[in-house]
Amino acid sequence: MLLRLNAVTKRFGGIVALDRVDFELRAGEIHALLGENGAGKSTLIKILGGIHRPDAGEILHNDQRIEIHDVAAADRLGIRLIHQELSLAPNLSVAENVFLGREPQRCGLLDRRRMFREAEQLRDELGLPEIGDVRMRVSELSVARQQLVEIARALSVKARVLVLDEPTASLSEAETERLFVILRQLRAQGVGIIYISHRLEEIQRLADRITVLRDGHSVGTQTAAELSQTELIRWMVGRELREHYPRPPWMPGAVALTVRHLRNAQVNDVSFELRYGEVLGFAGLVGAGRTELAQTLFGILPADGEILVDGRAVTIRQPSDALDAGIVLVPEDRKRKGLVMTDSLGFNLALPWTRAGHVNPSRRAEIVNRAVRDFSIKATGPEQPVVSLSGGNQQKVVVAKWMERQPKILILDEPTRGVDVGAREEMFGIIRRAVEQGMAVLLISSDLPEVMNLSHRLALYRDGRIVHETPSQAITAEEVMAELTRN
Amino acid sequence: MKTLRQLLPLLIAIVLLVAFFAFFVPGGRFLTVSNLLDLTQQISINAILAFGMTLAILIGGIDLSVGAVVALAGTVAVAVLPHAGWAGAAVAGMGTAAAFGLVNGTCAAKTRMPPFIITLATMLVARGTALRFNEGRPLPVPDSETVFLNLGNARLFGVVPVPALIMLGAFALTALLLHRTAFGQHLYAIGGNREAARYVGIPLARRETTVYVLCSLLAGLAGLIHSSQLYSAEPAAGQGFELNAIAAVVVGGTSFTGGIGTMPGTLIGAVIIGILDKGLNQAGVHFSLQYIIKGLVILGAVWLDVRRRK
Amino acid sequence: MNRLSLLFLGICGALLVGCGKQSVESKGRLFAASFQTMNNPFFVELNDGIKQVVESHGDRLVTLDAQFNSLKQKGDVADVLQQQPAAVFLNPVNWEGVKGTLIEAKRQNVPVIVVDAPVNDRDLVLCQVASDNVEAGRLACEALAKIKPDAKVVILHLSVNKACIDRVDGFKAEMAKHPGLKLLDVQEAKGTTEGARPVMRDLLGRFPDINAVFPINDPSALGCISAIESAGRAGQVTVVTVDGSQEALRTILAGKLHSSSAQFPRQIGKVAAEKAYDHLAGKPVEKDIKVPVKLITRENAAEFLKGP
Repeated sequence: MLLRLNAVTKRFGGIVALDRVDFELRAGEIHALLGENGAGKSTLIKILGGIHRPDAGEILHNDQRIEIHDVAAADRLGIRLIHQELSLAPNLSVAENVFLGREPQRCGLLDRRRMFREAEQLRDELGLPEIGDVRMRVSELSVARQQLVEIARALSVKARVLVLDEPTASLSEAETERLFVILRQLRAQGVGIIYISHRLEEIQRLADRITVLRDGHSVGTQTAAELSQTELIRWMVGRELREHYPRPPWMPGAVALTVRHLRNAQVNDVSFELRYGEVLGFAGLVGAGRTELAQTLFGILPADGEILVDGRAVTIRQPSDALDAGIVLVPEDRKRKGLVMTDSLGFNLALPWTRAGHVNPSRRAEIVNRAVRDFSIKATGPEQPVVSLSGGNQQKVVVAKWMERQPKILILDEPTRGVDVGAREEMFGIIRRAVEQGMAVLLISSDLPEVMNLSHRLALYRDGRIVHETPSQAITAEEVMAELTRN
Repeated sequence: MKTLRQLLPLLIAIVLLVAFFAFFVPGGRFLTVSNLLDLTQQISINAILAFGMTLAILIGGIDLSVGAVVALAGTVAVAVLPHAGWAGAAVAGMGTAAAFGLVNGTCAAKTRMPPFIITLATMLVARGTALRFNEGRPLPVPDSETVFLNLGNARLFGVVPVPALIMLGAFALTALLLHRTAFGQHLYAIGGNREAARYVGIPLARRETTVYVLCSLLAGLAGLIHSSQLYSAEPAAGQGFELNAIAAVVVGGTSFTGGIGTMPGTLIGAVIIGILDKGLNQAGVHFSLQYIIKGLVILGAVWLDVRRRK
Repeated sequence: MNRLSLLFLGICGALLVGCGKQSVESKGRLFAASFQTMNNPFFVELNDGIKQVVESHGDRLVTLDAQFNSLKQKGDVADVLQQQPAAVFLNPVNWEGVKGTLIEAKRQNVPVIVVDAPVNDRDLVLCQVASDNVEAGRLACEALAKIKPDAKVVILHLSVNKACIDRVDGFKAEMAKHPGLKLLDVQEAKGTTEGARPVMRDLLGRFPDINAVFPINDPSALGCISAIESAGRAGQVTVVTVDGSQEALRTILAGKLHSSSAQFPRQIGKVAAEKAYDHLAGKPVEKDIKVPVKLITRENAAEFLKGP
C-alpha cells in the first residue's frame, strides 16, 4: 500500500474536522474523495501535504510509519498538491512559478534560459499548449490557464502521490479531457492519485475507487464500478434521517422582493420573487456564486437589472441603500464581515445604530439587553469581547444586531457553518420566529438537508444562475444533488 | 523588453523634468556636466537606502529604522576611527547596522508583530544609542583619515564622485540579487502570495531575515558615506531619511502591498526625486512651495501606478 | 494610461512653470542663504534683514531651509554654488559638517558669511556675524550687581551650545569685578522651559539662600520663574537672562523677570549682507563681527514690545 491513514483525527478549536478517518491509496490508482462542503476533504489533503498535522492516528507510507512535519517533508515523499485556491506568485512568469523553490542555477545565478527551455519542454510533454508563452506573467493569464500552470508545476517533478483538489473547476471541456489523459498516463506509471471533485459524472468516468467523507467521518470506500450514482448521492447526503428540522409555518403574504434580470460578473441573469412569511432556499455547491448574489442584493457588488421592494423599484449602490430598503445580510464569513472581533458584545449589537451618529447610553443598554434576552446570547455581560464567545453565540450576535431594526427582508448566508448542534437548533428557531413575524427570508446553505427542510421554496443555483425553482417538498435530496453536480 | 516598457513612463518623466529645468534654471546652469555629476553624488545616499527599502517593501514589509541606522553606523565608525583605522571603522559601522537588521528580521519572521511597529521601535533604539556618543554632539573626522574622507568626497579621475560609484555598485549587486537569483524570485513569491510561497517550501523566515539584514547593511554603508561627506559623524542625522527612501521606492513603481517592483525602477525613482530637489533649488523656488510640489509629484506618481495596474 | 500620465505631467508642468516664472523674471546678482531651520522666528527675522539689504541693491536672495539635516544643507549649497552666486550666507546645522561645503565654496571663489553660529574652520569663511554673546552675559551680570551687590547666584547652562558658553563666560568675567556676588552652582537645564523648571526647583531646595539666577536664555528663564512661584519664593529671587523675546518683555513688564539682554536678528542679517557688499566692492572685511546687544529692563521694555 502506497499510503495508508489509520484513525486520523484533527480538531480546530472545538470543531472536529476529521474523526478517526481511515483512508488508503494504492500505487497506480485514481482514488476519488467525495463529500459535501466541510466534510473534511481539505483537512485530509492538507495533512498529507504537511500543512496540518494530525492530533491522533498514524500515517503509513509503504507500510512504514511516517510523520509529515512540513511541506518539505511531503516533498521528499513525492507528495504533490494542487490546491483549490490558486497558489501562484502573480508577478512571476509561468516558468518561474513552475520552478519556484527549486530554480535551475548556474554559478549562483538564475539560469533563466534553461528555466524557460525546460518549462517549454514540460508544457509540450504534458500536451498543454494552452499554457502558452512560458515567459508570460501569471497575473496576465486567465484563471483556467493559471490552473493549468498549477498542474504543470505539480507534474514538473516526479510525483509518487498526486493530490488534486477540484482541478477542473475552471477548465474547459477540452482542457478537462486533456487532464484526464495525463492522469491516466500517470496512473499507468504507478503514481497514486487522490482526486477531489463535485462532478459525479467526471468521477465515475475517471476514478478506480471512491471514498466518501461526511461530517469528518469516513462513510466508506468502494470501487467506482460497484457504486451507482444514486447510491453515491445517498452516501454523501445521508444525514437527513438522523436530524430534525422544524420547518417554519408557510404564511405567504404580499411579494416583498422582486429581482429581475440581475447581472454582473458573478451573477448571470437572475430573476425571482420572495414573499413575506416565507423562506426561499438557495441550494448550490461552493463556488456556484450564491454568496456573490447575496452581496449583490446587499449593494456590495454593483449590478445591472431591477430590484423591487414592495413593488417599488429601489436603487441599491451600497449597503446603506439596502438597509434603507429594509434588506439586511448576515454574511457568510462572520469573523471578517459580520463582527468587529476586537470589540465587545454591546459595541457590536449597537453598531447598526451608531451609523446615524451618537447613541445615548440608556438607549444602547436597552438594545443590548433586549437582544441578549430575545436571542438567549450566552455572555457574561455587554462588555464581554465577542472574540471570546462561542461560534453559535457570535452568529446570534450578527443576526440580533439586525433584528432590532425590524428588517423586511433577511438574507442569511451559511448561518450554521461552524456552529455546534445546539446553536444550530437555536438558529432554526430564529428563522422560524422571523417568518412568524412576517419577514421574508432568503436562506443560502450548502447543507442540503438543512436548506431543503427549512425553506418553502428552493432555488437550485449553479454558475451564477437559478437552474431550477421548485417547492421544497416536491423534490428529493438525490434529485437536487444530481442537478447541482451535473457538468 | 517588458521591463523597459514598464520603466518608460518614468524615463519620460526624467527627460521632461530635465528639459524643464534646463529651460527654467537661470543662465542654463542646470544641464551642465558638473551639475549632473553633483546630482549623482547628492542622490547616492538616498538611492542606497532605497535599494534596501525596495527589498523590504517587496516582501510586504517596511524598514523605518534605516535613517537612525545611518546615524548610528556613521557615529560608531567615526568613534572607532582613531583607534581602528578606516577598515576597522567600516567593519564596526556595518557590523552595528547588521545587528539591527538581524533584530528587525528575526522579529518580523518569528513573531507576528508588524514590521512597521518593529522597525519603529528599533529606530528609537538606534537613535538613542547614537545619541549616547559624545552627548549627541557631532564627532569630527580627523583630517589625517584620508581614505575615510575620500569615501564621500573624492572624485575618480577628478571627475566622477566616489559615492556615486559606490551607489552604482550597490545597485548592480542588489539588482543582480533581485532579478538574477533564486533568492530574488523567492522575494517576489513571498510578496505576491505568501501562502503560495510557504506551500512550495520556500524558507520564509530565513528569506525575511536576510532581507532586513541587507536593508540595514545598506543603511550602514550609507552611514559611512554620510559621515565622510560631512567630515563628521552626526548622532542626530538621518531623521526622515526613511521617508525619502520610501518616496523613491514608490515613485519607482514598487507596490506597497508587495510582490511588484524592480530595482531599476527604484534607481529611477531616486533620480527623479533628486532632480526635483535640485531643480527646484536652482530655479529659486521658495522652500515652502518645494514641499508642496514634491508631495504632489509623489501622490501623482503613485496614483498613476495604481491606475496602470488596474 | 498614457493620456492620464500626460494629463498629470501637464498639471505638474503648469505648476512648475508658475513657480519658475516668478524667480526667472527677477534680475541682478544672486545671493543665497541657508539656515538650519526656518521654523524659528529668530531665523526668519535674520533672513528678512539680509533680504532687505540685498533687494535694496536690486539683487535677489534665495533662501533654503535645511530642516536640521546637514546633508540637505550640503546639497542645497552645492546646488546654488553651481549658479555662481555672489555670496552665500550660511547658518550651519553642524559646525563640523560644513567643512566640505566651505572647501567647495572656496574652490569656486564664492565668499561665505557665517551667521549666528560659529564654525571651526575660520580661514575658509569670509567672516562670522553673530550677537555679542559675551557682552550679553556681561550686561546681565552688571544689571544684577546693580540691584543686589551681594547676590547668591546659580547658573542654568546649555553647555553644548557655543553661544551659551560665551554668555556664561561674559557673566563670570563680570562677576570677578563684583566681589560681593557669590556663585553657588552651575547646572545643565537644556535651554528649555520644561528642562529648567525641575532643575530650578531642586536648586531652591538645596540652597535656601539663593536670591538670584542666570538662566542662559528666555525659555529657561520662564521655567525658572514658574519654579520660583510654585516654591512660594516669588519676589525673593532675581532672574536675569539673554534673548529679549516678546514673551520675555511681557514678563519683565509684569515684574517677574528683571532683565534680558536682547539680540537683534534683523540687525545681524543686515550687517552680514552689508559685509558681503563691502567685500564685493573690494573693501577689507574683519573676520569676527559682533552685533551689539542691549539690556532690557522695566524702564525700556515697552519700546521694544511690538503690538499688544
